[in-house]
Amino acid sequence: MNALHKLSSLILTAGLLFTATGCKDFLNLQPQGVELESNYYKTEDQGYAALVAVYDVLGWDGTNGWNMFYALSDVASDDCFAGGSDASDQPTWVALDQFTMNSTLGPQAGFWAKNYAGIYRANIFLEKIDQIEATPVFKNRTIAEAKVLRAYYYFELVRLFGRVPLIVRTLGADEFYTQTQAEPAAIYAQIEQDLNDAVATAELPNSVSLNELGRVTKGAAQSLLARVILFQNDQSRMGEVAELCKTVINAGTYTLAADFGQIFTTSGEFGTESVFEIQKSGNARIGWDRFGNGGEGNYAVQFCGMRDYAGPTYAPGYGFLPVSTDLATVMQGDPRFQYTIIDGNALKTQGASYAPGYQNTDYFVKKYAPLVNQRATEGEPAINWSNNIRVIRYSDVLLMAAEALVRGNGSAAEAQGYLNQVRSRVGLPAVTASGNDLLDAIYLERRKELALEGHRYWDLIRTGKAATVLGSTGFQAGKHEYLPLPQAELDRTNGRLQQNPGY
Amino acid sequence: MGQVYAQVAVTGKVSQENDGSPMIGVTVTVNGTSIGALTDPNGNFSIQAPSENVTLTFSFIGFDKLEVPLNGQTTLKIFLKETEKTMEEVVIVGYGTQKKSVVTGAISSVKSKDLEDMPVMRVEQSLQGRTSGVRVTLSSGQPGAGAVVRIRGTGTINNSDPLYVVDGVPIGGGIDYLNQNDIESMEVLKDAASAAIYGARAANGVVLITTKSGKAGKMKINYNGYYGVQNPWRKLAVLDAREYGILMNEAAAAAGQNLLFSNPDTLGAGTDWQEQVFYQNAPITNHDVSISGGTDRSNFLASVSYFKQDGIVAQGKSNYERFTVRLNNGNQVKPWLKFGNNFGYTHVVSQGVAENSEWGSPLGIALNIDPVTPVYETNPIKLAGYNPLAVRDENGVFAITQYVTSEIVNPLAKLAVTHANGWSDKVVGNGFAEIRILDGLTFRSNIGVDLAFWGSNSFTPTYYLNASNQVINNSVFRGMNRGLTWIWENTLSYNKSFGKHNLSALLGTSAQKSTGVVFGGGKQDLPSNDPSQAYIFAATNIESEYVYDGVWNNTLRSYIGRINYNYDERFLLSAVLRRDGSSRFGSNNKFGTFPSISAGWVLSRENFYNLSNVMDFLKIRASWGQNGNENIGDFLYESTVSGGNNYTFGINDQLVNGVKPTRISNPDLRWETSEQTNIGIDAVFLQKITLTIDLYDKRTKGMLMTIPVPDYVGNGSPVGNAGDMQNRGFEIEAGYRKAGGEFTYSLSSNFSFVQNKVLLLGNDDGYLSGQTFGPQGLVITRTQEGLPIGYFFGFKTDGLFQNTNDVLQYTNSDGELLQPEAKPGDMRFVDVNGDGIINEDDRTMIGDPTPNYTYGFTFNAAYKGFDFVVFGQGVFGNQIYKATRRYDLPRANMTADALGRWTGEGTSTDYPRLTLNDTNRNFSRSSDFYVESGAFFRIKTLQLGYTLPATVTRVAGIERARFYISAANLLTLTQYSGFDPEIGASFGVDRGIYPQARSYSVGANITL
Repeated sequence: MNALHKLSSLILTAGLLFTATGCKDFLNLQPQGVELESNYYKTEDQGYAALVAVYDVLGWDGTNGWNMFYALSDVASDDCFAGGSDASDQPTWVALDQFTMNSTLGPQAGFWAKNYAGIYRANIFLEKIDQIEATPVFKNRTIAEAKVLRAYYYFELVRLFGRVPLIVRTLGADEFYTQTQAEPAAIYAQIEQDLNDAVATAELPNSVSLNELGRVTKGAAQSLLARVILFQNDQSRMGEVAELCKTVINAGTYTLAADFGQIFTTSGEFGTESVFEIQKSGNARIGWDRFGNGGEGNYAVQFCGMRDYAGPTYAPGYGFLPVSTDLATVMQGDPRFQYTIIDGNALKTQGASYAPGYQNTDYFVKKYAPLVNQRATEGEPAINWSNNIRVIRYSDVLLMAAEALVRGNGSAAEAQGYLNQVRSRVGLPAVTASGNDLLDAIYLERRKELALEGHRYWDLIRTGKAATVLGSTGFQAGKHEYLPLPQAELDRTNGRLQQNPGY
Repeated sequence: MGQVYAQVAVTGKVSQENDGSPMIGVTVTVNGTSIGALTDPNGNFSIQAPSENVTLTFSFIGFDKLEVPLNGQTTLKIFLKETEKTMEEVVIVGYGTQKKSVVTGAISSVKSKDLEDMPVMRVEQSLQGRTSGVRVTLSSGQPGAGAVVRIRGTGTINNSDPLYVVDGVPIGGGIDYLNQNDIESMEVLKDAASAAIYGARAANGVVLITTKSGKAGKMKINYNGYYGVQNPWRKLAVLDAREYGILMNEAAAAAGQNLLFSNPDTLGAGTDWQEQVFYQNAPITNHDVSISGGTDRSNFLASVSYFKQDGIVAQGKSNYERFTVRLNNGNQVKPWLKFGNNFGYTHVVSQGVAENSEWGSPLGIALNIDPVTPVYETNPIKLAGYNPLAVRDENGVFAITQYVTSEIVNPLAKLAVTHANGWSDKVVGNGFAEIRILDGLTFRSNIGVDLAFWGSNSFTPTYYLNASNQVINNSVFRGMNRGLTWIWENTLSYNKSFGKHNLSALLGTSAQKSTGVVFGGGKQDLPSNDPSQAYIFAATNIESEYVYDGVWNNTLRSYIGRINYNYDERFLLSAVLRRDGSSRFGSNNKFGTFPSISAGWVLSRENFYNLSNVMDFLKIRASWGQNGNENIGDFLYESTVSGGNNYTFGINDQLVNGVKPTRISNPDLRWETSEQTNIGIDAVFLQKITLTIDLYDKRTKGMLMTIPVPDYVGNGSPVGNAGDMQNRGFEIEAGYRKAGGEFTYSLSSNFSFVQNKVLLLGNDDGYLSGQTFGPQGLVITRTQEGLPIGYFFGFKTDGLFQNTNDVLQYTNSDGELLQPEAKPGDMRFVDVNGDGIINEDDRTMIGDPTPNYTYGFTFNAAYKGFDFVVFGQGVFGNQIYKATRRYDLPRANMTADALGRWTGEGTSTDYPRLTLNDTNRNFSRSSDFYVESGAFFRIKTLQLGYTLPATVTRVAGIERARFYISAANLLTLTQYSGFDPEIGASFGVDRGIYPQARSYSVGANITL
């Protein structure tokens, strides 16, 4: 072995040692282009982004399939059927329509997952907001918003499922499988507390600037609280509901739109009677690959469109949500009919055509109908419709006020006044009845004024009329007030969660 | 008188027997003397022999020694034959080589001589049917389509691809960049003990590829080339227009709807859409040239190759073109220093169409679109009603079907508006230095890189295909990506024999880093619909512009140790320990240790062995080891936050970014462990028959899967080590070789059995939902504890209800009708769980996509200048789920077996009645109606070649000239009724698979 040989061996053996022992951090890489949770939640911008994630869930129309809350609420009601191409098109819709759900069939898994996702995001926001460096105004306002959203999600859950786990903070790994269900009363108490907290927050504004439209306002929190209390159907609390509604009314923030026909147009979004809307948009331009919780589109719009429609005004859809002849009959002659329901037969006489789908009635949803001039030009049009969901309209607040006054033995005249504001806006004569007749008139007005906006079913449930009205379609009292809990969730929790009665 | 000492000058030339090339450096000795000589670079020698009656011996490493009595000759022509004693072969074992006779693990190998002259599309195919325990399936017949390689079954629900190591460099993204003729050998490390040297990446087996190097001797120029034409080997019989009309009318009538066609008999044959979509006589061609050679100090090999293939579907939209360059060299710089490098560059351009999809793949459409619609619409009244964006070409406007909807549009129109291609540039190279420090002690340092650039471009013009498939704004997309892996490995090896004790030991370290970038963007509204003008900068819609990017990085550091010991090549022992640290795992489990041990006993070397007259060699061996799978994605253990949880605010629908924790984190995350026990026998009979048998049991523990947490937790489930899987099986490889004489032939064959079972899934369901079919997401496969991975899931049927009485008699124990809605002609579903109702709980296992048995054989024969090869391969013990018809589109066309549908009592027992209102869900339920046997046997290659006599070609300066004709996929025996039983990537679900082509080619191999 010569000297050079020895030298080379030395150098290379050093190399061997280097790769064996060198650079301690070689295996400790940091992800790039992603933030570690431990480095996040520091600035106001980050706090805002965390709040946006809470809002995000409001718009989820595709959790575990086509699960659009307001549309499915109407499917369950006597205003719409499931529809689609045939009975096998969306079995979960048909099951809800005909009350044949079981623990694995139905829309429950989607609603369950969606709302708990929203609750988790609200919880983590509320936990992290303390460590964020931001002004008290920012903090207090966003805390109020997160609480309203958490209340919104729990309100969907408690209405859909009754007894659900009440989780108001993020869970640790040892708590994942140990949660138990709370009684509805406890859940309502939490919802009301969140909403009351928000209402009491001075920083939660009465109205927002144009570029903040869609964010929660004080009126939205109050109106939602009114809806929550009213839904509990406690006769002794009608005064509270009336007071809340009157606070909203007297604040003067909202007025009824002069032209009912304008409310559901694009220009009617965030109109004068808009109390709370879920903002929908095609701006995310998603394709089918992001179907589900991606995107911001209103999936129900495509769903309620006429199948293979060819003709003016409308774009073709999937033929779901055929409007019941019952609703069409009720609405017949009402000035709001033409803005609420599409009469397919009338369209046909104008040369239009469409393929009759399952449960076809030749009546279709108008309020959220797919309009050809609003069809998204980027992304997959079917899941990029931009029609906002009108969650709370001022007319709803007026009608809640009227109902609460009547039921709480308040002033009949005042109740008539609120009811007749809604009626006179569309040129209908004033109602002068009182007592139960007045209450019935209010309920009828609710059905017509708010038709196909997802309220009818919940009105039937809360007033105990569901079994009477929906009995013929399969509704059984004592069972179908609630959905079954998702079987997968029962399995994952290994028997800790109890299935709802009857399933 | 003393004897006259008469010197005789003997001259001659030594050549290789197989190709006649001259051999340099052959030792020539005169027996019984010390007289010797070496051949020169032309193979010539001259030697002074003591007499004309002595015997000369010719010897060269790797060749059979030859003794030639002079018998008065003074000019000799000598041909040496390569040694063929299989047990003397050397196999590559990872960081070294080993004599096959002392190997204690389960390793299969394929050598270049098995691959030469065999036209294949992808290198992985060279393993197909040639190695036991290795199942190779092309994911489709599309040019450039990937190959699914499974070594000893599917090892995990995650990435089950083996690790590919080319010249010591681990390769990402597949090995189709290699030119097959550049490959010297491929070794498959199958058992845990063999693979353990690759530790945390070896759980799915390892494929070691060694590229060719030049050989000492005369410089050579090699040309290989072929040209072929390809055609579909099968067309499916579907309803013609008349039959379609009749059956649709029947279905409409059954549903109480108006008839679709007033007089189906006038419809005639209609359009044969398969004919429109298939490309007949699609060309395939390959040319490669290599130059190689070397001296006793240096060798080199340089090659270029060009491969182009058009697909048999969608002319002009499905093709693949590859260009490769290779430069390999090795140098003995000093007696103690070896240095070498291997370098390969590959450029690929390809176009592809959907290969196996119900969402508008060309063949999927061809099976589903009605035959009534013509290719081009010529009726002016109909044309007047067409959307202005309806697609046209120089022959007219493509017709739009009025019968079938959704994605089932005119396939030619769809192809006409499909503009997409992919490309890649890849450089793989390594350089090494080897230093002999002491006798038997060698240090080796190897640095390798795998640098790849790839991307894709696409352009979507404005078009109208039907109401739900239209584009109003054209758009362009471009993506470019880069990945770089470097590896540096240093090993110290020691080989020494002490008497009959043979010892070799290895110590080493390895460091590896992979980084990469993806980047792309797109934009809408180009001024023209000309795809050649589709550039992002030309698009005008600023609002629509988007970009995305992403980066990744991961590292691996490893320590390697191995000891091989044998006594007298009789008792064999090997032990391996590898310790891997990976950036993919959290601090709680950064490092993993992977041990293995194996032993063998060569009985035929024992004194008591008395079977040597029939069995020349017999070895039994056993091994045990643990391997890992770290191929699980980066940073899954970290708690990160991610954006994209967006919402829109404001009057202008301003999209605002929302951020939340990505998922629940799991700092305890670790690699998957696969533990395998193997026992095997190697034997040689009568010096002609080789036999290898292996038995194994392989268990994957801690399969990475998302651990389902209750949805009320509210965020994505963490990834954890939750599942177990088992693969058990046996493998047989057998060969026979008849050498000598003018007629030689050989047969090699293999047979494998594997049984896959999922032992544990870490969720309470005990199953994972698998593939779905159709827009309603019909679940058709499942992975479940106790059953094979990805089994077919659905209802069992029990014939059809032949009459109303059948329906009424199908009751449960309470006398209630099981299928009250059913009508005669509907399917009778089995109440599998016996609960008295037919519902989703009655779905069960109705088939298994994974073949239990795979086999292959190669038969070679040669007579004078002629040679013949037949290579066949097959599988059985599996099923295929034939999901080719869109059940959700009642007016989709059907295959001709619908003609045998139920039309009245006794007319059919398996094909239900047709109705547009399928209330019994005959077609919209997953059931055994869709499941068929997937067994097949295929003649993959049949080749006949002729080599011109060397005496003729040498006149023209050509060492060897061989010409051949070859057929691929000439014969397929199968009961499966779809396009192709070879369904690779999709776990046995056929959605109208792009089939393998049958091709005929002519080729030449020329050596100068």
